[in-house]
Amino acid sequence: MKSLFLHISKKHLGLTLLLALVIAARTASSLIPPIILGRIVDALAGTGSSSALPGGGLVLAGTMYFALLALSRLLEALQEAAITIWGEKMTHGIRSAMAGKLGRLPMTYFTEHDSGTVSSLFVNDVDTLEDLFSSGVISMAADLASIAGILVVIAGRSRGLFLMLLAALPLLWLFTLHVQKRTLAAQLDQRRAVADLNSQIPETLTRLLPVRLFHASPYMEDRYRQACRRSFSASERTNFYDSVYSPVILLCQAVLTALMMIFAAQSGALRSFFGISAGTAVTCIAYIGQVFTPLADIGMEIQNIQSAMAGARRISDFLGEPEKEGGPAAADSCCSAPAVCIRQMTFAYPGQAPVFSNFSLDLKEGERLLITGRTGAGKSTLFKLILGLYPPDQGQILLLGQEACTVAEKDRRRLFGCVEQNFTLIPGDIFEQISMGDERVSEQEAWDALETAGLADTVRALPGGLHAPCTSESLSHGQFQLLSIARAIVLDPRLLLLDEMSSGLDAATEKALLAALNKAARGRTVLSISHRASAALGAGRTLHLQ
Amino acid sequence: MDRDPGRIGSYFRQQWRVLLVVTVTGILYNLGLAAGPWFEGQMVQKLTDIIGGRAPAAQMIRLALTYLLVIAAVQFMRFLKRLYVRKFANRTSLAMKQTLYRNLLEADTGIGSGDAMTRAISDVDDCAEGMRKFTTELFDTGVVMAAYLALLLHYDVRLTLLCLIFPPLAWLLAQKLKRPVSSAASEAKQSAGRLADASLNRTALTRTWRIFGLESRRNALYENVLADYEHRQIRSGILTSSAEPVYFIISSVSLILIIWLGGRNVLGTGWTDWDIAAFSAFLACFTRLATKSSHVGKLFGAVQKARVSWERIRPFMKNIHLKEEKTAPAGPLLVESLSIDRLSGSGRMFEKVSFQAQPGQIIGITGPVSSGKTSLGLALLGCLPFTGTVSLAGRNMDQFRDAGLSWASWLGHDPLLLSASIEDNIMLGQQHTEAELARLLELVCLDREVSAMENGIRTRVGEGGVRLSGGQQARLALARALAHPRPLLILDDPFSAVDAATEDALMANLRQCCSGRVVLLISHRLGHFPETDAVLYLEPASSLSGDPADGSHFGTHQELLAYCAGYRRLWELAAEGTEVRS
Repeated sequence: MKSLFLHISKKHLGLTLLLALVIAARTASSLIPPIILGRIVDALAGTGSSSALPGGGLVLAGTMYFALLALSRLLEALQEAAITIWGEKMTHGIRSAMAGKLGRLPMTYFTEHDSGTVSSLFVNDVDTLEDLFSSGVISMAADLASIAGILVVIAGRSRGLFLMLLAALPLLWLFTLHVQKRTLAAQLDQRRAVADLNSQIPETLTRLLPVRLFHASPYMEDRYRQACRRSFSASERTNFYDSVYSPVILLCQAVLTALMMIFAAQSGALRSFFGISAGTAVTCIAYIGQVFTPLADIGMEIQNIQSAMAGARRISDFLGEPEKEGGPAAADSCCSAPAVCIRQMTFAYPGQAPVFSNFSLDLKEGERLLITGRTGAGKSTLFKLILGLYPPDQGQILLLGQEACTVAEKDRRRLFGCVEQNFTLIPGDIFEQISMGDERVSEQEAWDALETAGLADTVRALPGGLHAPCTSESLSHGQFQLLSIARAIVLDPRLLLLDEMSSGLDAATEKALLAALNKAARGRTVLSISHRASAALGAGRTLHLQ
Repeated sequence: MDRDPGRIGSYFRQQWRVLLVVTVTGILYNLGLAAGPWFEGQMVQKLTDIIGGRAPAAQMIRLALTYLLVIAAVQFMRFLKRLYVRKFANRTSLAMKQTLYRNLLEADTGIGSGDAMTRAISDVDDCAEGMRKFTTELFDTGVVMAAYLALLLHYDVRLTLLCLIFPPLAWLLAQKLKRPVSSAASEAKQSAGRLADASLNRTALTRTWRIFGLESRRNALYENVLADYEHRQIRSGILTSSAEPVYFIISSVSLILIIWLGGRNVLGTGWTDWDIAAFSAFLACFTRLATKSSHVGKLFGAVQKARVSWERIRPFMKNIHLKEEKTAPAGPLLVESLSIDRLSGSGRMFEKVSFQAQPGQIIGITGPVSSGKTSLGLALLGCLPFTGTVSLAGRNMDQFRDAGLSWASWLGHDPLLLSASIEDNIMLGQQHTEAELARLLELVCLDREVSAMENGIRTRVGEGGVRLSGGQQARLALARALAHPRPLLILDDPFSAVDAATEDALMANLRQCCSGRVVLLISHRLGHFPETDAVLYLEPASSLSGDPADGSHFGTHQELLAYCAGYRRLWELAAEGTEVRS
């Protein structure tokens, strides 16, 4: 995770530097307008170096004051923008890295983690990271820079005020933390109470009949009122903290201002210690107003950072998951090799008894094999092994001479097609159901595959044809099975794997499906765990798994 | 008491005391806000005088302390105002929710409008929040702007008017900027939705992508979505955060005028004669006015949002009084030529069914799947429309309804328990003694189980009764039906989760405690039908033939076995141990 940060920061080095620069410039520019204002006041009061300003000088001073004020606001906006851009680049980079990681994880990861948890990593957890960047770490750095800048400038103008601020800031900081902590606790209570309150509505709606029959309205109302009271008192607490914070802070500002003025008005040592002229007083009053805003922001930012930490840790764990072994090997597809060759293969799911031990199987090109066996005998597992989803613990699985696990991505659809038990609908139109986003699939190839699957007429009749939108209601169950065949054979694979055909099709549909399978199987090696499909495809070997 | 909850003004009137506090503190606070800049100006002036030797240092102490006192008072007002305006919003939300809840319980809009009702509840918070913002902004923006304006005008009328040119310009520009900002925000939101979908597809379909060798390709497609998301988020973020600085800069152009012309005032060459105090007070005041006026847009936004929410809530804000509970007198039940239409509107469920029962009798009602058994029960409760006549003790249901009398108690297949204690689930707030409750628990064979529970009758049963077993839930629901005695008790397949021995005991107890009531036992399990006083067999209208042995029949168990073919079939199936599921 840390290295990923560094990597992304380095990739956007220019942006990162710009961000640092903008923060520095913004901090500096926000410090200057009060100083100018102080000078103007001094000049007007006749206590500064020049006893009076000519009219033109005033216009110039006013314009400068305005320009610098404008500049500081613009830089503030620029800083916001830079933080947004930087944060977006960062989360983009993290999501890309996570998607890449997804491709390198072993299949066992997905059996151990349900897809909801994994996608919540991609959506929710990265979102909290986004908050971490946009209103967490960096804004905190910027806020700290603001406070530091103001303190430095004040230290130069009025040592006394500087010391007072130095004493006051930590106290107010503690007060801020305390209030924010209490507010958060009260908000949690309130949310719980509101959830309880709101859950009574659907409960009541489903129980209206007994409520009315048994004349339970007074009781139900009383119950609801009590829940209302609980939520009410919880929100009263939030309200109190909400209401008390800002007045206290503003009062502290006033105390500091008053003290500063009193000390500055004294004669002798105290005055020189506070070293204030009328102009400096104006400057300092402005600074006192500025120094507390970042303080409250920092409190919020710390909360954001804390709540994002859990998400960051989960993402970090995800990126650190062990990856599957071996990359794609050199493609040395050998035509003389048998279509499927399994040698003394042993396989067990992690922590379970072996499904296969010393299992061997040879299948020549063009051969047909039906695999039978009771549930749990390992039919599906054998399929997954041949598809290369799991590596065998021992032995070899070779498809046309290539190790099943290391078949390069681009070769897979030309090597084998798989008709799954249920069609997996992917987002997109009919064409995308067949191509699956694969750029190599042309529309002509898609039509050919549909023709073979016997679905071309149906698709032609759809409004939009091949580019008709496809949802789970667009086609019947049987038609989706046909679409599944088209998807499997569109890139003309050498090997066809037929999973168990789902039952529950009417006679006519089943007939069409078997005819389509028959056509699709022509000239291919076929491995099937479907009795009905196998019967339709005619003679072949049968392998019974124990 | 007789306020109309359907008028938004009634909520303001109802809480006039709270609002009075808000008004007083709001005005004091906002007027007091102008005191800050004024005092600060005075102190700067005093400092100049002291340094120049024109005033003694002691005067500063007095001034600073007064300043502090005033600020403390003003901030205290602010605290009170904030607290009370939130109290107001809270109470409004509470009052609205309770009215809404009563509407849900009592009004006819309740049934069938569940979704709208649930949405309305969430609208209440928006509405109350809008009312709070409106009330807050009314003072914070309205009053404070007026106070600042008065102060500014007091210092220099001409300069003030000149300065006021720029904030409205900024406001106009902000209105213009609003559309691109909100359209960028909604585009960003849509893109976020696409990203969430794409993330879900990339992760949930990993196995499929892997089988077909498409993971790299899908990552590339995902990358496109990510790039689009990044682009739109940045665009929206920048537009949103740049609106305010632009606004501020434009309205601050006046600052040049203030320093120039105000400075001339101090130097004695301007329109009015100013000291340093006036100068810095004017400057501080104007800066705050410019910031405040940018909130005017917020005020309109809040009011608009509240109005939309209010329109959705309003249909459920009728003033309804709870009715008193009164029970109809007991007597014989007479049902004649009762027919019920199918909900789909395609014909009758059953046709012209007649039967009668005396108080103390238990009548079994059965029939094949979808013969309308449950509908018959609901019709007798008055929950389904029917044709034919139903009378109890010589009066029909409409008369009961008009007189506000309850005539039936009911227990369905789903016990429909509340997430409350055992006691509350049975009594539902009805006055009772401990002995009565104990007796009821005994009747439904639940006494021993309940006393074994740690909290006894105060045990909370969880959502829908999940902390109890299915049989316990059914018996608890039966106790509830018995606790609210009515001349008619309808039990619709209540005992499917209860074991046979307990069911026997329940039937015996039922016979004993319902001597003054008519009990209708609707079931497809016929085990206890031979003990009933009579049986009604329902034949679906769709399977009627001309044969008199077919069709619905009413008689004793033995009679029906003799001449009702349908009932005989059900009885034989039950005897074989095959359950006919309804």
